[in-house]
Amino acid sequence: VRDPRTLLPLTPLAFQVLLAMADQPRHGYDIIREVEGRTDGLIRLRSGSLYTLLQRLLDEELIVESHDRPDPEEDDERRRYYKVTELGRKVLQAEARRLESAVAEARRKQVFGRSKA
Amino acid sequence: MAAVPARLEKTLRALLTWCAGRVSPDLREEIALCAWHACADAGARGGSVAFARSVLGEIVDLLTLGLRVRSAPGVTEPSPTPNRGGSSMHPVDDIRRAVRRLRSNRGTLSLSVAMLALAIGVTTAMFTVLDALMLNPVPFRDAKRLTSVVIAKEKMFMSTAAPAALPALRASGAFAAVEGAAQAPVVLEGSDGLISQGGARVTPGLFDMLGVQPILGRSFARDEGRAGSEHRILLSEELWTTNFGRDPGIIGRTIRVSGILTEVIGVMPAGFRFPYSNSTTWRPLDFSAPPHELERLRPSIYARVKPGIPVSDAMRVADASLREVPGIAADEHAMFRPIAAGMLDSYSRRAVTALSVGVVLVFLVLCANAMNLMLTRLSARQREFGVCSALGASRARLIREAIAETALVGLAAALAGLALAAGLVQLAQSYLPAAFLSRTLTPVALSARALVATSILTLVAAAVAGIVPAWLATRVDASESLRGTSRGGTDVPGQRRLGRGLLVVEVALAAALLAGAAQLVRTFVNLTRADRGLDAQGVITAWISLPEFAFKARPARQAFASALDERLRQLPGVQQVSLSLGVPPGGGSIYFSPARAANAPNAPQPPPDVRAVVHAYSVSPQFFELFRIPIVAGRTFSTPAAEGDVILGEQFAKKLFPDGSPVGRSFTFEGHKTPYTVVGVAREIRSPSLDPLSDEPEMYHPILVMRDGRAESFGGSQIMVALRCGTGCAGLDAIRRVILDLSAQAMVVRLGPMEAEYLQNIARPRAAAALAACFALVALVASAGGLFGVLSAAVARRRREFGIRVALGIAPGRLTWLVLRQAFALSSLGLVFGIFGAWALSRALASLTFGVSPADPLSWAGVFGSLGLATLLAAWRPGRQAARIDPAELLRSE
Repeated sequence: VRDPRTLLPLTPLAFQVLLAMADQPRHGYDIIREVEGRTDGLIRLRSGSLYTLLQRLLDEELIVESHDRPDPEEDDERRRYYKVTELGRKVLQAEARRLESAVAEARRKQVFGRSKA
Repeated sequence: MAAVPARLEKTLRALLTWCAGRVSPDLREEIALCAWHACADAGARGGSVAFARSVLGEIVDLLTLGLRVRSAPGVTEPSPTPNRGGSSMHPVDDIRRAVRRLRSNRGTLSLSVAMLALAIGVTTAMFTVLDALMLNPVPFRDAKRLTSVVIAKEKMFMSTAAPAALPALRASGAFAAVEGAAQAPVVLEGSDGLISQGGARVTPGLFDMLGVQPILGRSFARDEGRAGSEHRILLSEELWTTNFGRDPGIIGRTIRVSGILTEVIGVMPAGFRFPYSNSTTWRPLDFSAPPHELERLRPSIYARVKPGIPVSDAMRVADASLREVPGIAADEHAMFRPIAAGMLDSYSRRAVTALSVGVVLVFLVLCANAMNLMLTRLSARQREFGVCSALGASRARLIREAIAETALVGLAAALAGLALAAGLVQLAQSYLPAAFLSRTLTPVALSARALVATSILTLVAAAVAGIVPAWLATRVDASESLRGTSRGGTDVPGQRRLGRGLLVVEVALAAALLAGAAQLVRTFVNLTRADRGLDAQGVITAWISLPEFAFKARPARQAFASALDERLRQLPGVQQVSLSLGVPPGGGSIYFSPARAANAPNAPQPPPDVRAVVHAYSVSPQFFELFRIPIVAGRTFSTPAAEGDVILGEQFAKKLFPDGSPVGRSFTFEGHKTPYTVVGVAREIRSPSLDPLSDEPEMYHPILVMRDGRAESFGGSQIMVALRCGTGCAGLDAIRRVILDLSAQAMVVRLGPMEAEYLQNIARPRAAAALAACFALVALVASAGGLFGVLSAAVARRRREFGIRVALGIAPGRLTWLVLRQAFALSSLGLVFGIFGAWALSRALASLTFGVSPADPLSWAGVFGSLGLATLLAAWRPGRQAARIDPAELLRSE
């Protein structure tokens, strides 16, 4: 079993894409929408770039194709759904922790100002 | 945004799928679907602009996937250790690093860019000239199907045809269009008196056939050009600019054209010239129903062959359609000629070809130089490459780095070269003699074709200058380079050999170019010094045109001429005045018909015909005195002379009467009724020129003849005046004033010193010599620069050796001598190859030279001298540097 820490740090895009799939399996365009909505349009993925990234995540075994599909009337059979693997979840967790500690450090250095201290 | 139409959706989705071609097939459709949803969503939220932007973004993203697929977007951040193979590096990073490196080394950078830019600029400019004159002389739509139709007997040349041929050819069915044009120069009122402009009478459909539209106003309507609608005119943009200040209100205004009120209906685009390169005005004419006064105009015929019909078939059909046409004889046939045929004479063709070859040589010299510079530069980085290699960088990675640098240099050079080419083309437009530029229908200007040529040149130049050095310089042994400077070497023998080889090639090409240029310069000098058979020193000539609309009757012209003669004589400093029809060089009317001498008193058989183009001048006895042309046999003209009296030039006299004295003999021209009687023979006047046509034989008619018991002169509307001036002679302005004071309707077509006329006659050899000299100079300077670079590098490399030699007691002067000897060895080797090149070049130049042999000692002395001097100058500083090496300092620094 791989040590999740060998895969750190994740790129911001990889982190965002993994995060998008953290709660449920999603298809490509769904991921784009989720990331865009969550980041207020700051991160807008193009399809080509997304699928290149998904391929990487698949290669690293951080995600797998999911066979749980929605109801046939909402589904499009050309779509593929992806979900986070166990390793993916651990990497996501480790990365989130890393970011968290970075944020804590920033807070300690009063990057956000004194009001919250 | 409303829903995207189904058809558009289908097309776009197909496009997106195609764009995703680099992705594995099972994913392709899914990606395209995803991209499509993104686009449709963007459209629904932000309207059609957002939709378009999204489509474009997706397409670019998909297309560039291949470029980025190895690097971004990755899963993890790149590790800070170098990655063997460099797969995690983005090409953008390569470029960024190359920019940083180039900025830190501006000297070499700007020198390499300058070399390549010069190469690209000069070559593009020359290509532009070559393209306009030779490759693409007809700039019209689908020019391959355009042709001029000549109707003439076998082996005869007739540029015009009977007007009835036009409708017959149109009815033949072989042509999409058949149009006619006839030369019809005009006289316009300029700000400074009357001006003469080239022009044509054309059938209204001509512009449609060529595919050219006016930039202002309209073209001719189908029914214009008959009586009542013939007084319309189209102006060229140049004429509109110079004469009417680009006033858009010119359309619809009436101006006086050759004395007739004519309506301006449009302005043709700049650079449009047809049917002649000097055409700047066009008036309509229906050759089938011409107005009375234009009945005698005969059209030159131009046609566009119908698509799908082979040109040879069209010619046969055209010929058959002319069989029943009145005015066309049974032995006259239709022939096709390219519409720009005959414009480019053989001198221009040969000169432009030779100069193009010269430019290619310059290009090679400059590329070799840039290659040498890059080699020196990359060699200096060899240690760095070694370290990178030791840290795990692959050879491919290093080459990529080196090539990124070359790509940037190439790009900068292309931009600078293009700007240079634009400047040079502009320079060419103003300084190249009209005799060159007017020999095509295409204006000499930077075009899309030139841009393509530039791009190709840049690729070639950058490839030559960049790839080989990159290959050589990255061939490093990591362990060797980490061992430090133990062998003092940042350069390897292979590179050194290449550097020197390049230098020898540069010197050889420069030597060949110098030899060629020397021959052309000598040609020009010989032409200016050549014997002209007359004395042009201090002679001013003028060509005055008396427009028919102002000088209708012969007495008016005669009165003008005699008044002019009298007034000019009164000008201060004027010693002699002569009025004539035609002045040398080259003026006068021309006889093309074969001449035949009358039978000698007791000759057994009639003499053969003499075929020659004869220049005929109509002159008074003063003409010979003024130009100092001696009468070598017989006498000069009496005043008035008997009708039919002529004086022959020596050349024509010898051709016509090879058997003895021509004085008193007579001859005729075929097709001319009256025989001519030779009263004297004048010394031959020569027109020193490379063009054999302009040194034709000449003959003289008397300008004042007894006809029906009355003295008569000046039948035509042209008068040439020659004045011989002493000290304090009246200026050209005073002469012009005298002419215009006599009649404001008279038009001074040309006025100036005769020497200037001769210079203009040899303007093309002069331009060729000047251009060749420039090319040779560039090559010489470049190779001297290359030599300097190679020697400097050699001295730097051998510092230790030189230091040790100095420490052992060698005189510093000996070290300078060592460097100089190396320099001269290299350039001598180059010179040896250069001599072979020069020999080949001189054979190609033989037809462009005048009175100079390829082995001309003076030319070769010039070549050896300038190469020797350049070598000395290039080697001087490295030589001094070698002498100045201080062993103590060297020891300290190590």
